[in-house]
Amino acid sequence: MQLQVIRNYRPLSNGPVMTTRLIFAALLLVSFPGMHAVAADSPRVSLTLRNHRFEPVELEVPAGQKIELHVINADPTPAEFESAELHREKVVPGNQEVVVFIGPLRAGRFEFFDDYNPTTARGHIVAR
Amino acid sequence: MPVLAYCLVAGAAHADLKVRMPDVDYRELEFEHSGLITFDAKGSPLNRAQSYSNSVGYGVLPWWSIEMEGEMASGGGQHLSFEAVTMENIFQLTEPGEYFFNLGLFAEYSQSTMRGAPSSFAFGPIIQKELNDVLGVDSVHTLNLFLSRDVGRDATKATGFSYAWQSVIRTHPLISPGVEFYGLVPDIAHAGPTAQQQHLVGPVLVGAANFAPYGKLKYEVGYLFGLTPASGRSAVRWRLEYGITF
Repeated sequence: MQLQVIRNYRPLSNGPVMTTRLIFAALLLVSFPGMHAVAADSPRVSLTLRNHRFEPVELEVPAGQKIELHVINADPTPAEFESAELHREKVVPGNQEVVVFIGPLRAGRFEFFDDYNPTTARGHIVAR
Repeated sequence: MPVLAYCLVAGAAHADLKVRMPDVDYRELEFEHSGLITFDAKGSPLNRAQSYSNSVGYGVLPWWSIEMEGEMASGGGQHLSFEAVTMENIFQLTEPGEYFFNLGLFAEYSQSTMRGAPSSFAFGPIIQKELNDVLGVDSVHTLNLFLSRDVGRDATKATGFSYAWQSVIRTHPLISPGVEFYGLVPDIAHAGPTAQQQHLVGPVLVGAANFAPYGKLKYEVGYLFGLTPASGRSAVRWRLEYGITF
């Protein structure tokens, strides 16, 4: 779906200046120093899926900090870590591990589940 | 593709009114419908112009998703015509939340099915910033900066530039309000005055309902106000997506 019509379009001669500015702006944005700041100090926590259940069911994490969550799928079938409250969804292939970055979280309780087995594989994160 | 008969430059043909996200839903099969109707003064080709697209996509790898799209459009008072088949790729460059920005790369090839209308390439970065618990709210801000270029017969030498910005306050998974900006410069080397470019802004509602394990339904509906004479008076757009992970 698109914008439709450019009416009365007439090229001007100041184009190259604008082109240069656009390219410069894009490069500046992408090379922003914060882009490369890896969350080295993020607390690491892990979660294991076994027999389509999360272990542990409750994870306690510090509030106000970014969290590096390692999700280990010990089952041979794929799983998907999903949480609308954490704004994350990520497939974890069978017998593999993925990393999900969440937060910083306000104090509270955040539900998550396995999209493939939502009735058995459920848990929550408690941020304090 | 827009109503090519009215396009004064072919680069205008590929400015989608949709904000692409930088993340890939690995192993997710998705079906998407989107539509756009524009409104303008009576007699204007933008009045009641329509365009629709239907697509199917798949998250092939954790960092790559591909989508095939069919596009139909018509000018005001005209019949819809099938205008293009588009192959769209999203490359996820960063893990969501890992860095200050979430980054993705968009690359698209659009094969025109209209006589006299060129095919085109478009590509560019997708930049996203999530803000959690700022003044008590979570929000997400996404920017698309795309360049486009015609290829093949009837191609112009113009390099088009389009931007799309969406900021959404994450109030509830089912419904979150936001604001969107869209813009198109058909030829960045000859950008012309702002009045002759297309820029639109307006509110949007986004949401998703999860029917796990039977998939997820996502929607977006927005109303846009034209900021320049070339943009038309207003437009309504919508997007409906069903995705299921295999």
